[in-house]
Amino acid sequence: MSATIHGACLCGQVTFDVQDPGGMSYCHCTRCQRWSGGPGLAEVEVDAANFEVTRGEELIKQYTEEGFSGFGFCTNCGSSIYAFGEGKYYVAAGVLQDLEFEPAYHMMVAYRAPWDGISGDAPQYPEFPPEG
Amino acid sequence: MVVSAADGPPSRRPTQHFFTEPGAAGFGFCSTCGSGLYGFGPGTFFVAAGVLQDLTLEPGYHLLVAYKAPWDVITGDAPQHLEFPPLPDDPAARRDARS
Repeated sequence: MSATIHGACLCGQVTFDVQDPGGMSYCHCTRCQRWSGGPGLAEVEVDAANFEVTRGEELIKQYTEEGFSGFGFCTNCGSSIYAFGEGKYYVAAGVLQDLEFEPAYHMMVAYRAPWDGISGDAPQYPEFPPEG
Repeated sequence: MVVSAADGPPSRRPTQHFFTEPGAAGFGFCSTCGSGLYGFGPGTFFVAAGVLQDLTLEPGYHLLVAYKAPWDVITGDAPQHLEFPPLPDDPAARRDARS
């Protein structure tokens, strides 16, 4: 088991822990652009069993639409906390402390914003990364 | 990005929520879906680029780069400022621009 990664929203009223994360990636899809307000979402994948909200669970609101990943955010400060779906959380990298990951890949690059300049050597996939 | 001058946030609407702390820019977000909409300070909104459609602007600069995440690799040729960009009428800024 890896070290626990702690996280908190902007106002600090929601805190959470991540264990054994699967890695970090960037999603550049238009939904992540609109939700985050930025070029997309830098996210750390973790099995649902390894993501624990340690404080302020009642402040998290989930937004869902049929056929898409859901999103969870802090209703006090608006911080983007996670996307979720199919037994996994994709925790926003920006709310995790002392994260030492590098992005493993960029996905949904076909839909990136014109002003989003992707940097680094990580593979870039037009839509989802290949299975496995 | 600056798109509007105002004396403060717009009047509260049912689907907008604001978060403010003394001495820092405030933030506005959608209380239904959590989308980040804008930061705001005295007289200025900084609208989140991700919620603007068909934006053809390029970034003019990066600010507060001293505090960037280790995994945040900045790309492009726009100037990078460790904290805030210099004001245009700042003599030090003019000096830097010449050097």
